[in-house]
Amino acid sequence: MSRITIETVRQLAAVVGIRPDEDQLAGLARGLEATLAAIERCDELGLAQHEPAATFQLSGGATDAEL
Amino acid sequence: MPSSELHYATIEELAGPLQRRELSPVEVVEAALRRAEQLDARLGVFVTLTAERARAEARQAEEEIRRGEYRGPLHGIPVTLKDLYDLAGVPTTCGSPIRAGFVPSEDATSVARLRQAGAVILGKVTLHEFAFGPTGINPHGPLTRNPWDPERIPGGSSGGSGVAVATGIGCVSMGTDTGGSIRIPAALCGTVGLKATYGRISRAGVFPLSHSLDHPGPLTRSVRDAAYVFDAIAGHDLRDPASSPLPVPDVAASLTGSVSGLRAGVLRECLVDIDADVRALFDAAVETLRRCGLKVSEVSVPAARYAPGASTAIMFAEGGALHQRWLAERPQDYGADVRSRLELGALLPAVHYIKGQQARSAIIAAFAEVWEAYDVLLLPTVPMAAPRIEDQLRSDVRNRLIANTRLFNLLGAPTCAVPCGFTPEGLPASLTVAGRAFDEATVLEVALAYERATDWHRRRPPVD
Repeated sequence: MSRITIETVRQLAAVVGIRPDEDQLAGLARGLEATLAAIERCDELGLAQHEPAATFQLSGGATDAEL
Repeated sequence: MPSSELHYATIEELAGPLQRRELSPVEVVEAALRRAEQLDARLGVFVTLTAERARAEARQAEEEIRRGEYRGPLHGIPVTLKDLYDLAGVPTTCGSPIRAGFVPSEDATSVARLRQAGAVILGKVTLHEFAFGPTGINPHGPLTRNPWDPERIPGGSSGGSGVAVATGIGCVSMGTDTGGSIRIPAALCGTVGLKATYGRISRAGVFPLSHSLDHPGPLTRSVRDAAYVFDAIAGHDLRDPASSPLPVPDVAASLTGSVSGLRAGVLRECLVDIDADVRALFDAAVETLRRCGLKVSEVSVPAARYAPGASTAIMFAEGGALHQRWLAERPQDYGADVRSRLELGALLPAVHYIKGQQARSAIIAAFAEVWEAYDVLLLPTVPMAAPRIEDQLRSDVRNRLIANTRLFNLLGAPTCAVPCGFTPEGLPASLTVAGRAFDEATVLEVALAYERATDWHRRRPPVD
């Protein structure tokens, strides 16, 4: 059973102050469900060992070798 | 070179005659403007054509060169800008009615650096709305068509940039790349596209889509031309908090086209679901580079398979945050496809955004070993040739367009797309060379070696 329903989308949208069209709610629910699942599959990478990437690291502080 | 072909000349071909005053910037810019006049209505390239301003700048460049004040290879070279770049006094619409009234008072840093180098700006070209899509089709603008087959998409989001460069409307077009938006139109239109390392080229004055994935960069008709532009615009910028402080080498001067001894990996994760004709052209390109002296073997990085999930989490959430207020106040002013993606992004929980950035770190770590064993990676830029316009909203088509490009925005690694042949239908295919962070020089060296061994970049679309 899907955890993201049309009602979930309505409630989340209300929290962030946006108003998706009614005829788009079902598509948004499916899209959000699929997107969350794709991100959660990344847990297989052992995410607990990794800090979130930060732009200052990407743009110059990346590694000693590059410096 | 015959005057009828002046619009197709590269920077490398124009720079000498311009410096020696055998050719005037006025002639070069007029040739590009004639080209724009000839093709714009048919192919939908321009949002704003600044012809009179360009003519005035060309006359100024001519006068400076006459006085002996030659500035370098970009002096007098015509350039277009994706309409995401600020050009003082000219609207930056981002391909959206929401931004139609915004007129910047200052140039984007990269535009200022191009102009400082003597480049002449022709105008602003079309893009996927707010740069958020890979097709280049925008409901608010002219229908931008692929010059190799006008019933096909140009690729996006920098669609107008790909068409302009492919058809001789300027030597360079500045694009942006958040998930492939320089490389996809370069591939589908048959041009070179350079996405440099994250932080190498300033984002200041370029409207963002996703702050941590956005990469500005050029589309050109040759690899060396991309190096000339890179040399002119790369480098630290205080206006961009993510700008890299690392020194930038003179890349164009260092290029020899020799790849002897360099090691390349063909990235197995990017060979999935490739159209047979594109795969054959890619395999032939790899063989060509082998004959040039490149040591090639296959490499697998399983972590790359997680790139789509991580990229979506980051891009959608950052884009959703950026657009939240407009989504609330002016939802009707977005096209349907971009609105739905931004709304989805606005609904993503913070947990998933953080997981996306953690996954990005994990993927970067997984590639660290690869960069010790290989100098560059090779892959097909896009697994298919340009799709038909009627298929532009199909999610499977859109997902395939970005299948091989998003990984390198996550890595922040430099990549260069170069034309690598034509399908039986006469549509261009593209080879991507990717490299270590901050090693644009090696990426461009390999791309140049391939370009020198082939003549694909000299083919012209059937628009005359």
